[in-house]
Amino acid sequence: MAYKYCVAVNSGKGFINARERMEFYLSGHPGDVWVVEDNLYGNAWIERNNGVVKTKENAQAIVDAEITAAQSAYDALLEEQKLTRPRPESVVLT
Amino acid sequence: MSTYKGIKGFKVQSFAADPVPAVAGWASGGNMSLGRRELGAANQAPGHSAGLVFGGYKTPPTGPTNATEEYNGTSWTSGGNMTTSRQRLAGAGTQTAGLAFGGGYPPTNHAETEEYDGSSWTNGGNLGTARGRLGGSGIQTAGLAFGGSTVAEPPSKTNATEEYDGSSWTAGGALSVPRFMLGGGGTQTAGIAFGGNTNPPPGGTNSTEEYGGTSWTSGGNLGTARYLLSGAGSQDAAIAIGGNDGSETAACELYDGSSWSTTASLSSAASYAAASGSTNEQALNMGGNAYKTATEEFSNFAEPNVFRNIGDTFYNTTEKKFKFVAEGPASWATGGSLSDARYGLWASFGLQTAAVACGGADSPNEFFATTEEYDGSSWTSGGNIPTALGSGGSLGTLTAGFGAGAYRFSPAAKIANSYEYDGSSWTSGGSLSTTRINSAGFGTQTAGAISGGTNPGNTVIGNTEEYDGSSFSSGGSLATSVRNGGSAGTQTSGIVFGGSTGSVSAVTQTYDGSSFSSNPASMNTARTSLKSGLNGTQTSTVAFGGNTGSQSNATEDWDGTSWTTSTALPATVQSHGGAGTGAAALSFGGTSPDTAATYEYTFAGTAAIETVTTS
Repeated sequence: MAYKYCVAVNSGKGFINARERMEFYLSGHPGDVWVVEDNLYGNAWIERNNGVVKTKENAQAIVDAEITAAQSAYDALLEEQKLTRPRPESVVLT
Repeated sequence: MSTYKGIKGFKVQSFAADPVPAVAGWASGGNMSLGRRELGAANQAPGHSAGLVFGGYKTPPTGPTNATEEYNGTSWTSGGNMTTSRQRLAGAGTQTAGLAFGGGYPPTNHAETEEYDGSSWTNGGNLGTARGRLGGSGIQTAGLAFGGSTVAEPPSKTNATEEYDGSSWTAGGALSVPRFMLGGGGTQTAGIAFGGNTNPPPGGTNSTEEYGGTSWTSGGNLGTARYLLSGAGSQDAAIAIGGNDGSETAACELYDGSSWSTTASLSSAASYAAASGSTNEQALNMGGNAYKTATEEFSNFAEPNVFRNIGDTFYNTTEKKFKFVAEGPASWATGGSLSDARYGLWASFGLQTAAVACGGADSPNEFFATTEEYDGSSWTSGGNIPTALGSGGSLGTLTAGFGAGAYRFSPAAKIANSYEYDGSSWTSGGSLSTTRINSAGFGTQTAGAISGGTNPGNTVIGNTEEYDGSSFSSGGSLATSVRNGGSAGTQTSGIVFGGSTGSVSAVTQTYDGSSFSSNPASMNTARTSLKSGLNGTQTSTVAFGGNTGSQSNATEDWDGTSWTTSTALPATVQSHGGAGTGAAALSFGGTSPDTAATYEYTFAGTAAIETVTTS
């Protein structure tokens, strides 16, 4: 399966509809990065949501930066506060 | 003779292929072996699976090429080489009956015509006017050449049209607007030319002209004037692709015989490319500037392919199968986002169209006492709890909600308090006997249950407390103590699943109002910090998200007997909020990183095509 990588801001209702969810692979990641199956429907979804297509490397860099920032914020928490939430995990894009 | 309509009262439509949802868009095809620009293509090759490209200016070491490639819908393979290497040529016909003509870079303009039979090229009659950057359409035995240039700099544009009969070219009616670098399509007796460069004056034109076999007449103007575009299709169903409108563009337009409308853009801007397609329902665009190898496939599924309503029946004439449109798999869609991204919500409950999110925190240290209410499309503010809380157990509806036990953020402590919600404000309820966080709640505000969780000593507990609208009393303990489990059902018919015993659990446990028992059907994916269709039943709910050892987007449906993996959430999430039922659930907020996203789950509602069988 071939993928495209894009940055698209979740605009809420209608950003992804139920039919689209069935018609192509899609996964959301930190930094508004979406991995989208490179097919007719996936590309139409990217266009409809004004997605900005990135290379896989650029998309991964955006995700990494977001997670690094989130991990730094987590590490700065009090130990007791850390008990209430997980430390953000690294993500390797498909 | 009896007809189906006569017997059944309705007529079954026939389609050559299963109807697909109405959508217009581009998808990536296989890459050509040779990167090239200013190439030719069999302009009228239909669909996606019978493309033909030839010639062009090839990737370094640069120069005109005679290479031919054939496309099967997936990949390109080499065909026979043209006799004459050239760029800026035009093409017509199909993969097995192609036509290449003109081209060249002045002062070496080409008049040569070559005919392709699916494996090799043979020479045909020469154009009357040697030229490059021309338009071409038609078929091998009825081709059409129009426009182009004969001098490079400054270019000399031409309005000349020539018609090919399979052996020689004869002059046709002249274009009204002389131009080169144009797009075109159609047949010799119903051709179309659009866009192009009119230099001088330099720049693109939006002019469209239609050919009737003897003369050109004006058609509707392109929405965007452009040159170096590619084009395909027919006179009443053409497509204009990319080109240059001041800069290289990905924009595309469709023609319906009288006017152009914007359609889906190429994945990336392209000029100097070549296109094919007998209509604008399916087209190919190949190569282009920077010696592209890319192929993009255009599909425009509109009527009658919207024939996909649940209950529709049809006959697939290709597969010779009688089919119907059934309710498809469950799916997630985005809903309106929370005002505040938050994780570790204190309470989340309600229905998909009337849900409540309360408390929680976001990074680095913002704690919420606020409530948000969801109406099926957007979140609005509700009443506040007395202080910021997180990680409670909750249940109920928008107008009769309940939460018990909490992590109080400041001063930090686990507390046994409970609060009742009436749709606008919170009031204090009875206190739990066992202080706890991360418990599982189910039932109603006046007949609820709070099970399991973590006590102040951070031990995972299993006892249940039942709420009657004012105070708690002891209920039966979980068969397996868990925290952060999913839950659903009523006080006398509840269910708790997943969670953490210290490690992630897949255990399903059912409650009968007095005791829990383990159900032999475990979840497919063991996980904690999940959420569920809380207002589902003991025999129908859905579990989504959580942590399996890593953050998850897994969704599972419960039917009272077994868990079935369903469509995953669009993004992984844990420590989120959940509401709804097994048929219509809601996921909102969570981490990590913190999110305000809301997703709506619909068990059935998408359409899927199934085949009628006799068994």
